[in-house]
Amino acid sequence: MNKLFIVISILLLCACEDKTNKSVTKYSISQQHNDLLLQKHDAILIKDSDKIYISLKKHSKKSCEVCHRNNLSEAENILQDNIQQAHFDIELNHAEKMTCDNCHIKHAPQTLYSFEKTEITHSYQLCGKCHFKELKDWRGGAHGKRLTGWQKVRVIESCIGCHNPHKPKWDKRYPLMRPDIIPHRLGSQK
Amino acid sequence: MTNSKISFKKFMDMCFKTSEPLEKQQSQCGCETNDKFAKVNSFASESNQACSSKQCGCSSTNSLMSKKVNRRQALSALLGAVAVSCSTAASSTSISQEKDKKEHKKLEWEEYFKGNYRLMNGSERKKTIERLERISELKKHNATISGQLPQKNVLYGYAFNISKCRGYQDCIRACVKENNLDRKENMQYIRIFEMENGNLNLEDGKADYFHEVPKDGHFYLGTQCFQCDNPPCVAVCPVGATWKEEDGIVVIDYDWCIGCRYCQAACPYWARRFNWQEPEIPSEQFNTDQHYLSNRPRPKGVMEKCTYCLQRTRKGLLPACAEACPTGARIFGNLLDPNSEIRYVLENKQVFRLKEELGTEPKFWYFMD
Repeated sequence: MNKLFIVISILLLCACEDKTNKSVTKYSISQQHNDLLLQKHDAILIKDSDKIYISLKKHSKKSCEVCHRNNLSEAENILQDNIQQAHFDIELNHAEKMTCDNCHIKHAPQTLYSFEKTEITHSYQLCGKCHFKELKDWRGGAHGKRLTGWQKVRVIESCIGCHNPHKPKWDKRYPLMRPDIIPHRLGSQK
Repeated sequence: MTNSKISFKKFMDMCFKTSEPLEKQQSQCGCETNDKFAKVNSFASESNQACSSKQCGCSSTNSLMSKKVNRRQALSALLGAVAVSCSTAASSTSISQEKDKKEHKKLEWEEYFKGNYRLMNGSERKKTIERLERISELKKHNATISGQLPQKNVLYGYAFNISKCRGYQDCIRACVKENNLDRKENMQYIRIFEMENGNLNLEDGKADYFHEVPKDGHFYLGTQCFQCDNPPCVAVCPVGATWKEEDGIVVIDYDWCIGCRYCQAACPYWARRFNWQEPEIPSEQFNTDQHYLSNRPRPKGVMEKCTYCLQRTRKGLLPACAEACPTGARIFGNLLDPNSEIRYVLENKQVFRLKEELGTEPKFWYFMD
């Protein structure tokens, strides 16, 4: 009887183990899929949410530290050598009255500042200080662009993925032509 | 009875020129051979007479049936019960190109006799999809055709932000490419209307603008098929070639459609398109990821329309237009999921639909910021 009991208990254990293994593998496959998607879009979780990710693909890859080094005197030397001022290519046209100080602070290029410090990767927090309606719609889904499928993990474009923060209005352009309109439709037909 | 069976086999053989020995016998006894479909009907009677007289050796098909060659065997296995009636021996000496031609014609012949896709069972659907994939392979398109069923607890909805759309028309380009639309006749499912501010009359909108956009004092409103919940196009179809799927998409069986264009007249949103000619698509731009009910190549003389790219959306992706839109004006999602973006729009924004008074219940909403 004892032997029988042991055999049965072993069988039961095996069955239990099988079940747990299956659930673990299933979970890890979907997890892997999500991870791949997040990796593809270079995505990070936004603050105060466990479902919404933003893509950092269009954020500047050049670190501010390249110029803004710890040793300020060096940077000043570079500035003196060049005739052009730093950030000469930045065209500032944001709400007409705004200046650099509205968002940036001296000596801390990776931090934005407007009433409180904000990490540069979470710049939507700073944008939302004024554009709070847009921020709400962006989080909900009525503003902004979704990068992944409707059923997959939600990765969306951050504010600066679509808008240049220094000049947030979009430019005009010509509409796209249809792909390869067959040439004779464009006038060379007999 | 046996006579009629044999004559049918022979008739099929004559249609597809499948067996060389049989042809020889036929030529000996004065039977003509022709593989053109146009003359099939006149041939049937001739072959009937020739074989029922039993003067020639044509009726001895039993011996032929025992000789089976690999290709034929494989083909008959692929085609199943329909092919049994014409499973006679094939000559292994013919050139491969001719073989392909014969097979192509045979597959097309069998395609003529299939039923309505909506009423088919699983195995029938699988068979027709396999046939279509093989035809595509013979045409060197190598498309994969899916027959994916609707997902459960999903009802697709679409929202369009008319204050975000800037008339760039990226969506139209993506749609044309994704859905294998005809390039020659300039067919497009989506139309972007340029409208003057304060005027919502679509007939005043301009869909053929070409200048820098957005034009001052104008807004842009895109239309396509709205996948109505009470679709008038389905109600008028005399043959039941169009129907609403469980996930809310109105689809067309292109091989069941007779091209009467009643649905085009019934649709109040001008969403349906007619193929006046066989679609022309450059082979390098052919989208091979296809669905039976959506973007597989259409024949001449049938209706087609937007299906919210169901070959993509049933896999969990966004429709091509929503993915291509650079402005984020197009929002797509599951209406039954309370956390979806589309539900946020419907609950928090002021939305409207076109011609709501008609009671067609389109699943396509417009809203403003």
